[in-house]
Amino acid sequence: MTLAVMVIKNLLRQQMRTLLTVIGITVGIATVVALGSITAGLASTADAFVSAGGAQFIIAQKGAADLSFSRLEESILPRVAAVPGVQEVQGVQLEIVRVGSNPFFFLGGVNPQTLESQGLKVLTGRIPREGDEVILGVDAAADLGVSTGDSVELGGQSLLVVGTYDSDVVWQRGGGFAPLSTVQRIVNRPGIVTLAYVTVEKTSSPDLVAKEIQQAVPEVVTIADSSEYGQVDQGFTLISAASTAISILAVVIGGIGVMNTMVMAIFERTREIGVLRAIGWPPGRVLRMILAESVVLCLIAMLAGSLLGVAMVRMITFLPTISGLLVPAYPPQVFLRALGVALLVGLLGAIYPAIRATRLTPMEALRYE
Amino acid sequence: MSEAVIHLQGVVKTFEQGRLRALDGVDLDIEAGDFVAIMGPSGCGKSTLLNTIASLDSIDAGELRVAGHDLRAEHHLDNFRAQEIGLVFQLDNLLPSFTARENVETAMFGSSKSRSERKAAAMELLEFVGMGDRQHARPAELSGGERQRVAVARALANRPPILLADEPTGRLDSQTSERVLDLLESLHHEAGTTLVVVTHDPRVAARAHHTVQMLDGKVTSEQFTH
Ligand SMILES: Nc1ncnc2c1ncn2[C@@H]1O[C@H](COP(=O)(O)OP(=O)(O)OP(=O)(O)O)[C@@H](O)[C@H]1O
Ligand SMILES: [Mg+2]
Repeated sequence: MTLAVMVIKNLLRQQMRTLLTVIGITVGIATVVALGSITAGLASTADAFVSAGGAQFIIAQKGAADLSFSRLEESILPRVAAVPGVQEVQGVQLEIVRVGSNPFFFLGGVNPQTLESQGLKVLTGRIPREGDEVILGVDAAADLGVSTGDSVELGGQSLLVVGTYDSDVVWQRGGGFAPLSTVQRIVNRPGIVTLAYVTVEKTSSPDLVAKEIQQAVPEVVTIADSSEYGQVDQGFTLISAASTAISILAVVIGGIGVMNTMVMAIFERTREIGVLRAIGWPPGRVLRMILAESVVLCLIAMLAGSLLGVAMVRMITFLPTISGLLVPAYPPQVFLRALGVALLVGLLGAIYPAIRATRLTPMEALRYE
Repeated sequence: MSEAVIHLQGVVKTFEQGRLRALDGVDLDIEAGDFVAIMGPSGCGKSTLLNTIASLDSIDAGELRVAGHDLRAEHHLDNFRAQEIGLVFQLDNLLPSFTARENVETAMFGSSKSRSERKAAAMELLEFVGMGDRQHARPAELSGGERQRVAVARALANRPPILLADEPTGRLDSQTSERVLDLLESLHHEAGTTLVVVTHDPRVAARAHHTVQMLDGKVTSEQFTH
């Protein structure tokens, strides 16, 4: 027999209690994994958005509560372009317009020449030229039941569908792109863009250029990745914060469950621990045995919880209203965090009963009722 | 007289904040290879004496030396217990969720033995106490005498020079008691183990070479028979 075998046998002797504890922590871990995948998905969507077309960062209106509320005068773009190190500035207008029964049709107004560098794959037809032309994502074309050569009514304006494209980004597949001036005209906001993509010269540092832009053009903020995204999207910040708060709560509840189990398991076994001490077990070995029991419990829960968490996210994103908006991501950090949480909960939950058990003299432990 | 393997002088052990003197100045020397029976009425301090010798409990005053270790100064009492002492408790105290063999193995975790060596050594000890065919039984599946024999096997796991037993036959019928006693005696003969047995049983005392009578926390008389 080894210490590991002892640990397993000790866990198996109260199978129901062990099982219930594992279930408790599993739910906690599943919550951590599910919320982690969703926030990671949002972050990678934001990252992909920010770096579309090989840009290093975007600029948006300073103080906008949401990126869709950002408004930049096109006239400030040359001031940005004049900042040393800036290679190119591309203003875009992003609009959500009503199309038929879909109130959330995404319409991007861009310089059509930049589309293909943004990772769009033209499937049929061509990209739009100036004028009332639009290229649709595959999902949008399927939803609307149109194909190349047809025309669609977008925001009260009839546009000619000149092609369809595929994209890795869900909301791009469900939307379309038209020339910037066309979109400005449709939404009646001439001379206004939502944001602009900034490409930095290879020899310059994007961080420094971003700082200089903010100094030279104080009306804008620069956003280089999802961690800076919160500056223009309070919703994003809110979701991250809520996800963290709920995760902590889930972990605390799971941790209390483990602590309860371990306290009960150890108190019941105080006499046995006295016997082990009496036959020469050093306190450290008793401590290791107890901590190992708790950690094994939590690692099982970590595996079960990860599977359950992924399953939960899969189910959520299967819902039609969510599937178009949210692509969960499963970066290793999500699972590493779950592992860290499991180890932490396992150790913290057992540390009190374990230390108490080893503090007793062998005689005190043997006499324990 | 050869060097005492167990030496107590003026040993005092109190409980209840000093109000209860369970050991009240005990002087006792036990030589290596001795077979000692400790007797006396209930509550006179026999178990307390055995527990202090086993270093399970600290003492309040006096000198206590066991197998060359000054127990009041010794820092590695765990090691001392594992190496020098085999303990058979008043109640058998086996771990209920482990088999007879696993119980014996728990005492060998600190040794340098590999897993398979531990298993083989535990098997050998169970054979020695006549429990080889019950190696997979859990304590609940064993009779009181069988459990006590497993407890003896566990006490011998690290071949300790000293075996301390607290009423090893206390709850056994006379026939089973004889078997456990035969076992202890053969150990004494074959391995030269120093045996200290707390008992109420005159048959145990009759086999011992050295009988220690206690009363109210003191040794009142000693008798050497062989
Ligand atoms: N942990 C303790 N706390 C308080 N009093 C104790 C403790 N251990 C022993 N005592 C007391 O010390 C005295 C000696 O107890 P001990 O167990 O040594 O007696 P004993 O001779 O072994 O008796 P028995 O033959 O009934 O087993 C008793 O009065 C007992 O109540
Ligand atoms: Mg006693």
